[in-house]
Amino acid sequence: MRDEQLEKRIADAVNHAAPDILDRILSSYDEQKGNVISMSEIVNNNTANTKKKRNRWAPLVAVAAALALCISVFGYNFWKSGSAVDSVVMLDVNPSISLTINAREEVIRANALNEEAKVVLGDMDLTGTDLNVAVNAIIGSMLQNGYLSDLQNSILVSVENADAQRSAQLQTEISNAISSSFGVSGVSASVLSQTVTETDELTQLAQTYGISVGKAALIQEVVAQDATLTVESLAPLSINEIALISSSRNLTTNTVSQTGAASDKAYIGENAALSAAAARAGVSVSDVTWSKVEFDSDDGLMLYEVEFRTNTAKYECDVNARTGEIVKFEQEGGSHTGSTTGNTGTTNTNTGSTNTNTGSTNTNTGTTTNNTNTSYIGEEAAKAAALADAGCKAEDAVYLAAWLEYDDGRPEHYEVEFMVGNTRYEYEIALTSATVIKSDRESYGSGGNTSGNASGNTSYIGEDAALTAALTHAGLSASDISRQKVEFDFDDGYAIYEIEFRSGRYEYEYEVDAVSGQVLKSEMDD
Amino acid sequence: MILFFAAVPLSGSGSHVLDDYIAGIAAGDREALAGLYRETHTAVYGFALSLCANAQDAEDVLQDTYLQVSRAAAAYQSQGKPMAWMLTIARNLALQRMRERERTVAMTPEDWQTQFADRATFTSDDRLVLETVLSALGEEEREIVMLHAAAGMKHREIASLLHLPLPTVLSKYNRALKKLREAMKEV
Repeated sequence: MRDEQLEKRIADAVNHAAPDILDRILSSYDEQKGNVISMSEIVNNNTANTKKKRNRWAPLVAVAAALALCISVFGYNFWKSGSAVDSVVMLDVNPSISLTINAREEVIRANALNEEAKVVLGDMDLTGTDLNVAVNAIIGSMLQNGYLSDLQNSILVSVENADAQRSAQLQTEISNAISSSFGVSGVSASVLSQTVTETDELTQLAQTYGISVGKAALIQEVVAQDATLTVESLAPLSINEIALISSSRNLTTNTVSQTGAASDKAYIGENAALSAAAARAGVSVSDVTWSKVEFDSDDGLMLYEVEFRTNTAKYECDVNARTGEIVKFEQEGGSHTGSTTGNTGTTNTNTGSTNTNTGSTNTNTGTTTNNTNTSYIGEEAAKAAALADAGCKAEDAVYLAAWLEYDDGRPEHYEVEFMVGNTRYEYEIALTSATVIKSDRESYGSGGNTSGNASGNTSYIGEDAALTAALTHAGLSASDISRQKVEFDFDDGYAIYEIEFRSGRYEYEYEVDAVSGQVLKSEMDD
Repeated sequence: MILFFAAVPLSGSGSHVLDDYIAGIAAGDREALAGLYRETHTAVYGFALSLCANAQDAEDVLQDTYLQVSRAAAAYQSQGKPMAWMLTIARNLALQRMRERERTVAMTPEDWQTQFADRATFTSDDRLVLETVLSALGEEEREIVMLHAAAGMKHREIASLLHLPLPTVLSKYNRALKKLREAMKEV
């Protein structure tokens, strides 16, 4: 079966298998649109929502519920005259809830700002209840639903009120209400509180990451204190996780105040992280002369960033904070001297394939350096061994790349790939000697595919001739065009030149067969 | 205005069209979201399937991707690569999902029976192809194969999306097709 046939079968299969869930997406979209409301919208629309729901209470932590019921009955009498907005209070854990309150600290409206918050609010109608009672009820529900626990005890309180004194007073009141709600559960709370003034920048930030304005303000503040952190990395984290990262880095701030400590009980601890990193390095913890362990995150996953030194080497290691698994390991110095990082990035070849970016290997899952007492032959030696075995010269290669291939985080062998003429070679070379473990070659070309012959010293027409072919096709001369770009590329194993240029107000794109000079595809666009 | 000299356009469905949809979504246009979905959902689904190796997860990722796109549309800045932007979102969502459960969950024979039961055009050959892709290939190979064969991306674009060197993408792609051919021969 030819490549194109196989590709078509795959495309067809996916096409036939793809579900039609547009309706579902649109209805979620409608809900999302209706529910993610910024603070200013809440404030501006304060008179819109005056419909009164029945007072139905979901089962809550007993004390909070009893208290809530009791006071909501009394609260109702005061409610009608109290619909002018005084402040907006947001509670963020991972569920995000906003409470719009009047000057008597009664809730005008409670809004769920994300899906988790809908679970927390359930059937509760907090309209008209006292702020303390509402906070009590919400915390109770969060505890009951597991959003707050011994492992995740942090909650962020954001108050929007132009009067700083009033805002500070509300923050204190709410923090106290939260602490007392926690009292019943046996969990101790960590409350972060801040005053928030909504700006366009904050709103934009909140919308981009699908988080509340309060959480966006907190993240903005944390990132301002530590430039190595990014909004992107913090946005998916819970308030507890953000608080842990901030406190492990000793960040100080004037805008956020905190009572109680964020729980780190879900994680293995700094000592265990250091032990895991030392074990990975093959050194004993007693040999460590200096160390620093901080919380960090990557793609929403909590990590310990462990840096440590022994007398002879320096190490950097990222450890999964829950499991102790090593996710990144780097070593400088130690038993293997010299250029351990293997001189990456220098292998790029001729023929104009500008963006191939060979050589810069394995940057993701860690591990630039090899560990302990082995000395590897290096990428250049691996290349030389492969070329020698194939009877080829480096200067004849269209591309030539070598890198360490890892299995389960350990270097396994060098992988060398190169192409000479229309034959592609793949080699596996041993780590410590120039031994060929495995080799494979495949030749491409117009017509024949697959297997065997190492000859095929096809030469390509070159960038200039390719550009000329495109210009001829377009009916233009070299003086007519600007911003031309010619790139060598492989498409399905066929060598092509990809060409772009402008002429007048038109943009042209071409693909030219690198062997025959034939124009394969062309596009003109204004 | 786009003029095609040859039958096949260079870059799939024009990126301008997709950019326009995304701009529409940013402005709150529900129809634009529907349009974007119709234009791109097969590619996104194929990619999600390659990452999750499980049809139910892929379907969830598909849904989440469009919701995330609708939330992030306002912040989107066109660099002429709307598809790469969407696929990056899909990839993050899929990886997040996989991380939460710490692995991919392979589909059982029952899953294969029930999952596609409501797709009128889904044939036994389709099932064979997908089962082979999901079982015979590693995750990276699946990604590359789906991006090229189902999403119509060029190897160069895939290299940039997955942060891999182009030669790696090329060799993995060729190796993956070889594996598929062999695996399908055995059946």
